[in-house]
Amino acid sequence: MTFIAKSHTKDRVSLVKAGKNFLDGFCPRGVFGLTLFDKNGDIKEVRFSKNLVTNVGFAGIASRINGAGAEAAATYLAVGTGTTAAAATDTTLQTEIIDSGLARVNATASRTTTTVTNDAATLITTFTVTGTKAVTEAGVLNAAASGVLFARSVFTAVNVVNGDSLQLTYKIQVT
Amino acid sequence: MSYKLLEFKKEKRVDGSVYIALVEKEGYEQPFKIVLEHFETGEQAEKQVEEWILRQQADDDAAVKNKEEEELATKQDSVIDKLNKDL
Repeated sequence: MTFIAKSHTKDRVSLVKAGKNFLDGFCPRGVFGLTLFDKNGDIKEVRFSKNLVTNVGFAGIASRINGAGAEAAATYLAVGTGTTAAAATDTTLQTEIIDSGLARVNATASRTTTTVTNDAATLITTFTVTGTKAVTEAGVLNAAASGVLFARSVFTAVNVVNGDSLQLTYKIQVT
Repeated sequence: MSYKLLEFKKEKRVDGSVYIALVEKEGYEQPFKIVLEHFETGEQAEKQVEEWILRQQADDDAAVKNKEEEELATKQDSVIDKLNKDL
C-alpha cells in the first residue's frame, strides 16, 4: 500500500487539478506566441495558441533525455497555412510556408525559468515578411528540412503582408 | 514605453472559447487585442499576457537604449572629426 503523508495531500490535489501526475510531475506544456508588427514596427496583432505535442514529439523528448534514438534538438520554427486541427499523429505541418520570408528557420534557443530554474525551453525568431499569407499553423521541428515535428498548433488566421515582421516564440514548460 | 492590461475576458466562438486581453501601449492611439486560443483556464492565458508585456517592455527599453548609444557615438564621432580638422 502506498502511503501519502497528509501534508502532501493538498499538494497532490493541486497537481491533479493542474493536470499533473503526482508521482512524476513531468508534463510538457507548450505555447506558440505570434506578434505581428507593421513596417513601422507598430504592433498589429498578438496571438497565443497552446500546442499539441505529437507522438513523435514525445519520443523525441524521451530521446533527448537519454540520447537513445539520437534525435536532434528541436530548434526549428515553421509556420503554415493548414487549418486541419492538430493531432497527436501529425508528423508535418499540413501546408508549411516556404516562401514570402516565412520559410522554416533555426530559431534562437534558450532556457527560461517558470516554476523552477531553467524549467522551460524557449525558441524565438522574427520573420521579415515579403508576401501576403494567412498564417494558421505553427510547428517545432528538429531539422532544416523534413525532420521530426515535436509540436504543432492550429489557430485563427494571422494575416501578414509584405513589409510586416512576424515574431514567433515557442515555450515549452516541463514542470 | 509602458504597457497596461485594460481588460481580460473569455469570449465564446463557434469553434470554442478564446481569451481576449485588451492592452494599452504608450504612444498608440487605440488599445490592441491579444487573442489566446486553446487555453484551459483564464489563469494560464493571463500569465502569457503578463509575460508578453514584460518581454515587450524589456525589448522596447533595449531598443531605446541602443538608439541613445548610437546617437551619442555619432555625436562623439562628429566632435572628433571636427577636432581633427582643426588640428
